[in-house]
Amino acid sequence: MIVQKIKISLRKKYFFPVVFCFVLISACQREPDPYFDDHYTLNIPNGFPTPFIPDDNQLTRSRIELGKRIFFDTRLSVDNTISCGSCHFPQQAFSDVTAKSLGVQGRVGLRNAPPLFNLAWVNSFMRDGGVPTLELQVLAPIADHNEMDFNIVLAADRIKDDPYYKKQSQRAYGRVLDPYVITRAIAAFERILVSGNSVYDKYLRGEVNLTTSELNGKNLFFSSALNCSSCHSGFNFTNLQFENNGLYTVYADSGRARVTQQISDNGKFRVSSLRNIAITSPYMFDGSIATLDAVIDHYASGGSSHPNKNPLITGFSLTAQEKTDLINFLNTLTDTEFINNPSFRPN
Amino acid sequence: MKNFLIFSLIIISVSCCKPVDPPPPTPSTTGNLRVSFIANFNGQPFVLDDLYNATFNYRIKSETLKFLVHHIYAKKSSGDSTEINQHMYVNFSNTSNAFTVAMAPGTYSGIKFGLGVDGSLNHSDPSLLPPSHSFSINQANDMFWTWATGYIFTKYEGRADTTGTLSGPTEQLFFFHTGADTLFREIDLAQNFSINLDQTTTVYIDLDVNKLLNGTNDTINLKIDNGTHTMGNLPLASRFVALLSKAFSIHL
Repeated sequence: MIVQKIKISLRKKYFFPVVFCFVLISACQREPDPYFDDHYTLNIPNGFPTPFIPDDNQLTRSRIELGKRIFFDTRLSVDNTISCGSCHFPQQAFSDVTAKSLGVQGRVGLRNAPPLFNLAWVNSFMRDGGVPTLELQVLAPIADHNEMDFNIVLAADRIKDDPYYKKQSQRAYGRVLDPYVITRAIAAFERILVSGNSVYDKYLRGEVNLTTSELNGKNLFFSSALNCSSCHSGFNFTNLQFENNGLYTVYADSGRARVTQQISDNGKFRVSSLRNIAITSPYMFDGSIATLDAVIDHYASGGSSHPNKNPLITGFSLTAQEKTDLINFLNTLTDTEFINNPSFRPN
Repeated sequence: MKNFLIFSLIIISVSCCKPVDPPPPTPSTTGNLRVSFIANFNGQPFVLDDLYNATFNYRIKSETLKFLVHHIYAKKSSGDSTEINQHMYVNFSNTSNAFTVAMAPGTYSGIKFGLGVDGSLNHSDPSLLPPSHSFSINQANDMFWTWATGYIFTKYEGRADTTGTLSGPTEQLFFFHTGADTLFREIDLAQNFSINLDQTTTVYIDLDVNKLLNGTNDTINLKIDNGTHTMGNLPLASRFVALLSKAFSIHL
């Protein structure tokens, strides 16, 4: 009985202090991170591997919305005329229709603007692979004299007080819009540009049939006679390597060698994905070939002589029908759902 | 008793949250070292946009001169050294390029510093550095290669009269933008100086701009070699960095 009373007494004695301590400790615990409340799950097509999304820029709806708004905002350029979307049109799979895009004051860009899709599966950026992350890539066009010719710090100062940006930047990243937010938000938007629902994808899933001509083109594409799929391989139709495809004997643009300073990389550029290839003309790193027909002619000729040229490019001959078949197959790589997706268009 | 315990716990908890009282002032045990980066042109005071006569009877107008400095040390004759500043962005468009640091009194034998950004930071994301960092995107946003991750260590730009008459127009543009891991240089300058208790000693790191193009072992002729973004012309960038690294002197 005495023991029981002591126990009750002790319980009463320590009840409030214990509860108080618990309240204090609870108050010290971290709040759940509000910036991840609207987590966005990337829709990964069948056959695609796990994408790379950096820990410090996980996808959320707020970040993607913010990034899209900035992507299409011309205030990123020095004279308020050029946005990312000025050279990367959604209906062209985020590429440009001209060989070299025009930047501020009509200045001509260095290279052909590449299409933007499936970037969460790319391990380095720019046609020479000089930039290791999508976030850092955002800096390039803003600073480039021939593109936006601006300064990301000044660009952030220019737009940070915009009521939408003020609110959305806090919601997405918990901070005032600054260079960190601009680079992260645009990268977040670009990572959701997933293209994996072309006619060919549907064919692989057994949802549609290819025509006889398309099937013939497919067989040619994957044949050792043409060797297309030696470089344009995998789920994204690129091995992500840097190759010299014999476009020139002498390259005014050294390509990958600009980054590596290796003579053996002179004239090498990243192998482009062939997804959406029918709508991303003109072709090559400098946009020098206007049509798919002419691209096939280039490879059929074996290209120009160059010490770094990929040895697989030796030339081939096709009948007119075979050429048509090959182009018909390449046309099946167009993802109309992707290029018409309203959520990728400016608001 | 119960209330007393609760009250005590609250008092203790609240007390724990209060900042610790500052300790009583203690007598100073340090002096100050002020390190100032300055420039001259062959002994004359250097001012951006002024015209200077240079080698080959050229006249040179420097419009931009800036560089990044990584890890500045004060050396002792014993061979020991103390890091006095981790990072600095020297820009001669600014009225001053100096910093002051508290140091233990004593005798020192010189200053050494890294010209550029060392490999530990050169390929990092500048937007991740705090805005107070000299290499952050907020401060050094124009000192970063955007097409290839890495810093531009040095920018020297301007115009020159290369007619050789000392009276022609300054029409020849020139630019030397250097930056690559292989172009990081350590500059080691000897100058004895003392740090005295509660006093400030100023040490000047003096850059002779004339020597950027005209050194003991090499001379860059702006009529021929007038521009490099490093990767487009690495040999010229290397020559420029070799000249630059020999163009510093130190004095009190």
